[in-house]
Amino acid sequence: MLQKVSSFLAVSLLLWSSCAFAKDQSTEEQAAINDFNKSILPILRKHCYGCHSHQAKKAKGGLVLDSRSGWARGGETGPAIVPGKPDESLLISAVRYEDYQMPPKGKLPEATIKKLEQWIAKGAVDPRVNKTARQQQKVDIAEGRKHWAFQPVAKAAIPEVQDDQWPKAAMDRFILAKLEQEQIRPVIDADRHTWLRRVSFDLTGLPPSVDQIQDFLADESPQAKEKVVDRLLNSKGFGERWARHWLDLVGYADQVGTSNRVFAQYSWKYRDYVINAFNNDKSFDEFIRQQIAGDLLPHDSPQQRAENLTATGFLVLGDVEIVEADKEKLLVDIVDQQLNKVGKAFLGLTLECARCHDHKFDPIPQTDYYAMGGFFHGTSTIYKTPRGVWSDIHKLDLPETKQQTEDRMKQQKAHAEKLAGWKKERSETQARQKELDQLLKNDKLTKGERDKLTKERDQKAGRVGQLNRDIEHAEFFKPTVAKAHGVFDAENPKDMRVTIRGNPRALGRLVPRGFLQVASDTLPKIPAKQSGRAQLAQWIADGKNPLTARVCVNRIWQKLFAEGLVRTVDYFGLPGDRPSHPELLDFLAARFVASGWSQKKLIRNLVLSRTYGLASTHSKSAHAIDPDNRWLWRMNRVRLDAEAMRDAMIFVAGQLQPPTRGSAIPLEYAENVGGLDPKNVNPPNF
Amino acid sequence: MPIIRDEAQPGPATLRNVFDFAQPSELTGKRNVTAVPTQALFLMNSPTVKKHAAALAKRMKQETDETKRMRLLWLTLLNRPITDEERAEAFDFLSVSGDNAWTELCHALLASNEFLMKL
Amino acid sequence: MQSAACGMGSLALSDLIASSANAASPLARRAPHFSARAKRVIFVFLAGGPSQGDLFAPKPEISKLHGKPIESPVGDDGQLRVGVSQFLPMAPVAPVRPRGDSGMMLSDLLPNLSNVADELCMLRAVVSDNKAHAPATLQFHTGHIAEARPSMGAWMSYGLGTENRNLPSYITIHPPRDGRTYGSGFLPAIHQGTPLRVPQNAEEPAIADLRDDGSTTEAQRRRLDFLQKVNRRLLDRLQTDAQMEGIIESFELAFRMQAKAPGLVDLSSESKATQEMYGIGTPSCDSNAKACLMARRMSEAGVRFVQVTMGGWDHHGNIRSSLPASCASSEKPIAGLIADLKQRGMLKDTLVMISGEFGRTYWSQDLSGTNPIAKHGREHQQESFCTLLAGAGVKAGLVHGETDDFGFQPIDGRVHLHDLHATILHLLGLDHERLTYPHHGRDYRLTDVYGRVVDEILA
Repeated sequence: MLQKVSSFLAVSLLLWSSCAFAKDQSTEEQAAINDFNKSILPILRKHCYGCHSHQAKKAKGGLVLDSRSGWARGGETGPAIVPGKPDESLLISAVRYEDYQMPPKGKLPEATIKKLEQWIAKGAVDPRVNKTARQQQKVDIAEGRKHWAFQPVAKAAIPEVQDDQWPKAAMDRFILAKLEQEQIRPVIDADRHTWLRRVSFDLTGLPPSVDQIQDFLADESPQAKEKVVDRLLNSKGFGERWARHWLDLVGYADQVGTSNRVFAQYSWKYRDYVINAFNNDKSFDEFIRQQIAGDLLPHDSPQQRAENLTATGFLVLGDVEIVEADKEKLLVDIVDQQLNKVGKAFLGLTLECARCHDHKFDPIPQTDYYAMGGFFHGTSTIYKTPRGVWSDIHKLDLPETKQQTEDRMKQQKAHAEKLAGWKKERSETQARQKELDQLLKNDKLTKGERDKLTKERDQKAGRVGQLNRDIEHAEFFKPTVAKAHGVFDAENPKDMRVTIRGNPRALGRLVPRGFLQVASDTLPKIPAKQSGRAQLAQWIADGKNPLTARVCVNRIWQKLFAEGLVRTVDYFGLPGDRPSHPELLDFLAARFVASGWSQKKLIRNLVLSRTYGLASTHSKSAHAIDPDNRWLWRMNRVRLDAEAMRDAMIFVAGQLQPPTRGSAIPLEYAENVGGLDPKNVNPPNF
Repeated sequence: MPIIRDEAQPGPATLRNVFDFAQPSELTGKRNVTAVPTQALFLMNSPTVKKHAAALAKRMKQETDETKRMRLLWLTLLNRPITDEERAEAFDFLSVSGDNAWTELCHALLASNEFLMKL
Repeated sequence: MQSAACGMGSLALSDLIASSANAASPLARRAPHFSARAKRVIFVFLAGGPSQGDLFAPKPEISKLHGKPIESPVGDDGQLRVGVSQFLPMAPVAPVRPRGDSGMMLSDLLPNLSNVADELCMLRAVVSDNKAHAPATLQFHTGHIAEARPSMGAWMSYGLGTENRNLPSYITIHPPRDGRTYGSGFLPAIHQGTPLRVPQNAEEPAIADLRDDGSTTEAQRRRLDFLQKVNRRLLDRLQTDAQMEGIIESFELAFRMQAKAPGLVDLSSESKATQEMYGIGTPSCDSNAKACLMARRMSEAGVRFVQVTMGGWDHHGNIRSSLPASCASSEKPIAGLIADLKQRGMLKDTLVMISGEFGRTYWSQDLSGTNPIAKHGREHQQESFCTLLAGAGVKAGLVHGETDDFGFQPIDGRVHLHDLHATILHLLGLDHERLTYPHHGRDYRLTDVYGRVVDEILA
């Protein structure tokens, strides 16, 4: 029976070992561990745990023997075991009945004592990890701040280079300085054709047209490249291309749910918001604030309010769980997804790893997770539908301008008329169908007459089927006030409690809302009855945040150069990649913030650089020193991604239509909805 | 730009899924790049690519001079001038490829690394 | 070294001398480090985490305490560590009995698998490092919980090449969603798993676009030759590019697959008895049965690593009703596969592995907090779970490893995933410490810096 007790103690200890990569043992160690488990552990359990374990009502003498650190730290009289030295170990003198007499109920058999002695003599291998030991390894925030990514963005001096002719842009100097230091010569510049193709794909996801190639080649002015870049940046394709990159981070889809999905009818509003944000070069800090806290931002027009609300789709779209009987669990899981998303997209961190324990690698204590989780815990994302265990994401009514209201009224009228027309046609067709059925019952019909009637009846039946589908579809898609998926503050936002292993019923202590300690000294002042997301957004979108600008700049760099300056673009934590050019990263991040967080300006600067214009050809000597092209002696080659590949094929075939935007499922095509089989998805709501 | 999960949306989703589209369930700033035979099969045999090849060939045929047409094809697809060697090879290929020769040529080039990569 | 590049990169493989005439190909057959017991692997992945307590390793202590709440383990800080008030010990949902000569314990839910119990080798104290599906699945396949490392099939393909140049060396039927689980990571791209699906209807092909409708083979080959010439010229110009080489290779492989694969995925040539043995035609398990039979045919044809994924094992709730259904969908196909390999004499050099990414707790889980225990499920458990092996080089009928009375912590015969990976490579004649690939300045292995071959289970 003692075994029962100890194994549940083990539960409490070992459940901690989640997200991290546990260190494994060598073969020898493994053998020793096996020995320990086989012959020593049972002795301790049987004879000692009753009084000397965490399970015991009171650990006698302050000594616990249920873990390595338990005996290593020892009780009131010091360490109980000195590895390798049985004679100096209190435990041995106690079981020998020398100073203490343990166990008190009766001396252990000699053979058992021998086993303990041998074990200690061999080094007292003990695999039992202890939480006391872990607690001593509390996250050291001050130490954590030494990690490069948590240091403030430094003001980087533009380095001196030997070859003053080579650099075109300031950033080229950083690249060249490193190359010179490594004694690598960059390859030649890409020819103009290659450069044009490259920049066209990078900025719009499309190849240049033949006319565009010829225009560029004919332009001998020194500004030829700038003209191309400006044309591309100002084309609609720019936003469409770059929005796609962002949507990868959002988990954007026209459905939501993890295992079960439902159609997220207004997703496209968020998508179009992102496209417009890129095309209008919305400042990135504003982009952050809108997506995290758009519903809480001030506004001075219905359009602006609508845009703010739409932007919060960031927090609800994608892999949001919607089928779960346990609504409390659902709530904390959604908080987890939102933290995961915000952490990854803006901060380059894996916050979700600190849900059940302190982060294994990064200076993020578990309480930071709940401090930040509090912002989302006080946020309403989904609502329970009348159907069983299903929930759905919120659909917010967007404010209308006067013009929009008038237009909608007109549409509604037209729609009602169309629907009425179809319904009238349907009842007429059905009436005729009945008539035909009657006529066909007449067995005196000639074959010719029968065939004719049968044919007409089949036609009518087909038409009714079509009308049924069209009507169902049209009713579903009837024009309403414009809506978008988004969030709003819950009724009475509160701080969040630690949930033990994510279990919403096993609650730990309350953690006041706050930011990542390692990247912040300030505590937010959250207005009463607010979730605090506005304060969170402000903290993230602050030029002083060490992560935000670096992460964003690095993402843009990666899209243009195929690899980031930090190659783990989504993860800036301790085991992540270190920046190849830390000064350059900081230089770009600082300039990005100073430029008003303009992504277009940053992209423009990068693609007009000498480095971006390098050929992607091979260089034996450079390759010998830097096979990975870490120092960018040439351009990286990369296969087009799926969208660019598809669009390019259609484009060269001369058949690419400009995207229409709007709903992913054009309303005029009922078959677009048929494929989703609404009945199988979520009947009453669909 | 509709993005429906799984195979609920036919058409372009096939290409997306074959070529490492970022599934909405994984939030990622950097997509995988894979090279598997299923991609090669898609490029060799799928009706999608064949359709584009035929449309491209048809579009090219508006240029009646075959040498000019060849130059145009390279410029359209690979965005660079054709070399003499390439031109000779391409015409050799056409000469043995029967009625559909231009479509076949377009198809081959649509599947080529130079078209599908950014150099 | 540059022509050897082929992404092959370095000296890492210089001691694996290519024996094939086609040595330039990264898929060329290569000799193992030492004599191999297994030539190939079939991995049946039970995605979601099957419950070992219900299926393979019942604990009397648990059954005795069935439904009785256990005391809460409380940490030093006075905080509850686990929400145990809802975790009641829960007896197996169906009887588990000794089977075969070995007396290996298997559930009544596994009647067909019980018939082949004496072929199985059961590891009862397998350990991995993460409790969530995605990282645990990734680790099972690649050794690492988070990064895009090469998957085990890719490592085997890299180490041994292919036995059949008309097929990929690594095929994965109904693969897990995360592409990294069958990815090649930093290994040459051609080593990655090729996904396959069992057609759901007559029109649907197992491999999309396997046929070139509308072209003759000659025309297609002509087109491909032209394409490859264009590709090679570009490669010559740029000199080295592992990805381009992988793509060029993938086209050749795809071309050859067209000839070979349709026959392989067509199961109609199999006898009625064989089909029946796998459970083909039984609606509950038809799809998995076809997948398993396809796997055998692929293995027979020389595919180095074949994986069949069977989902539906994530029984958080009402395991009493859902576990029997999961078993019914899969146990006959798996048993059929083992018996069929045996009768064909293939089991002696084919290693079959059956496992989830983790197991489940012996105590129950009730997310609603209000259900009676009869409707409870079980939570994930990576601290210990069961993996079944069969075939080449493992001791048939052996049960290895034991956990405590609550089926939680290994007390004997602990096998970490790294050890399992090391053992599989060992059976294939590969030393897990020598099968390396240089990347980012260091030599990487499937087992990272860990792993021990579990000698105790080797025949």
